[in-house]
Amino acid sequence: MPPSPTFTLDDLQALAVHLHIELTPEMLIRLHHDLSEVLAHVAALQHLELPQAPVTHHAITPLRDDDAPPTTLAPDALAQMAPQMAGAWVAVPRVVDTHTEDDLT
Amino acid sequence: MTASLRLQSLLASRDAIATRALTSETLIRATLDAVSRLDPQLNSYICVDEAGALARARQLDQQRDTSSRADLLLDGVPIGVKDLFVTRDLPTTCASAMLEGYRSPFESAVTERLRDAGAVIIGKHNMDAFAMGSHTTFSVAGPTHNPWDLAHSAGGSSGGSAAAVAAGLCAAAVGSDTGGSVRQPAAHCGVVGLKPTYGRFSRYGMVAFASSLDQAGVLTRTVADAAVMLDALSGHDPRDATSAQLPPSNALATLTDSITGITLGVLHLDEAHTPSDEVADALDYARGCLNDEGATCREVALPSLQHAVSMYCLISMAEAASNLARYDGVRFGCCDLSANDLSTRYQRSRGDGFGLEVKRRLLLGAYITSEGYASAYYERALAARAWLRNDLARLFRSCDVLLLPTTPTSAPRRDGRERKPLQNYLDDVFTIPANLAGLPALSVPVGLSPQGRPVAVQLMAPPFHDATLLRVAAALARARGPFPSPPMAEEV
Repeated sequence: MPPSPTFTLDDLQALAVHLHIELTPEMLIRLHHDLSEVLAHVAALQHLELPQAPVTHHAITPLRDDDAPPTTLAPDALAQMAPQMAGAWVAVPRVVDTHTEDDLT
Repeated sequence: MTASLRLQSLLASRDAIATRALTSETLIRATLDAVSRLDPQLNSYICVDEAGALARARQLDQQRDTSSRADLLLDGVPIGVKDLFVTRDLPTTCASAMLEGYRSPFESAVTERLRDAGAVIIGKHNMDAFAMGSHTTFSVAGPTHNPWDLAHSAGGSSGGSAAAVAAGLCAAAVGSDTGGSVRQPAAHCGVVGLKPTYGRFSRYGMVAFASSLDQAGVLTRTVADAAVMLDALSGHDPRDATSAQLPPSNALATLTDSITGITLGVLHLDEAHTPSDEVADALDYARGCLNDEGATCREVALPSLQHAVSMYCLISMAEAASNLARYDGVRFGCCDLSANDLSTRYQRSRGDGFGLEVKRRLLLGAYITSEGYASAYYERALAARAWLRNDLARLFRSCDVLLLPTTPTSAPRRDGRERKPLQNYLDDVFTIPANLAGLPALSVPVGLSPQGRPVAVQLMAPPFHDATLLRVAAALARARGPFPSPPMAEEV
């Protein structure tokens, strides 16, 4: 699918929501200008006649087998990094509302 | 006296310590004194561990006097690390409000190996937040200034490391290089910057930006110091899936071998990539020096170079959008506790914690990997990357080492740079190919511009030919002679 001919402010706002990044209106406009400029530049890649070559992410080093010894950190060490704790748990705002059985029927 | 002590090479300091002509404590005290005097102007350190460094130096001095332990490659010398290598005893911020005050529960492989080699880590260096930037201006700690001219850029993102090494505020530093972030600041500050082959240094505990491109690298005042740092830090690490299954290097042993028989490829630069006169002169000078040292020179072309920046932008930003998803304000880092629902907490924490450049890259990375656009942008960039990699492989069938600019110009003025993101990306055109192809590359200063700022050239080699790269760089440095230090560094 060809790229969008226009990268709109609405596109950018939707991306910010998707990425969970709050943006001020001023920053939205500034970023829209910057990113439009970059997208215009990289569009040249669309018109390249590229030779057939296998696409690999890692240039030269084969990934090792996934058999490394575990390096799991102690729960206490992890808990010390959390901004907010509730007892032994990392605290977050409520995500799921509490429903009664009647609500679900 | 103090300045000459601080500004001598890492190897000279290490050897003086080994022969008891100097103690590590004396060297560390001199270095810390210079940091307190010079760094208010440079802003190269985010944190300095004065008490820890002195205690470590005293411990090493005592061990040296009482034990028969084997010689250590970095025994007693002061080293700084970019503030993205996690350390247990010091905070790790990545120069971002997102990680302000963060202290890691584990130690990075790089800092472990530094300590195992006898280094004294004296602090952590300023950088662009999350290593995204070219001038060390996107730092929550403020910009780093170039020790050769405070109004000019120190480069980035390892600008703090480059400025500190140039000013003698450490003997060497470890930075990270995703698109040139070790080599470009090294060029601007007049020091050596080495990005080894992808996989040569473990990245365990190095905060990720773009995983298929990220590589730790070293900044030093001499080529020989870069070789000893490579020898100290290289080697397999099973904790890093991309770590090469190779033993540590021994580049110092072959550093002074002749380069007779080496074929030097000199990159043909078309009109669109013509560097400034000072850089063009530096390339001519380097070519002449290496020819005199015994290398055979031939001109080579790299047609894919013109699209390298586009490939890099798309791939690095896509990977960044994925890697930085972990900063959610819940498990660690910046958190807005006033938000009443989880989604708002995420948005405010990431909105407040990430700076402008990080947001720019994350948003673009998300856009070009979103449904409907991934094939047009991201997958296209991956295909183009394969083309560039093959282009370089073809090039290295006709030469052993490639000579090209590190940067199009010497260090630009710092003001106004952050308003032109595309231009900043385009300025990395000569460093990016080594990251896209995973190749070793090195920037070495060759002279000063008429305005008195350093001018450097870059050398690049096939994968795992790091020692050859250093040997050619050493020949160039020999022909050039000792490189001066910034005048401000000599005054303290």
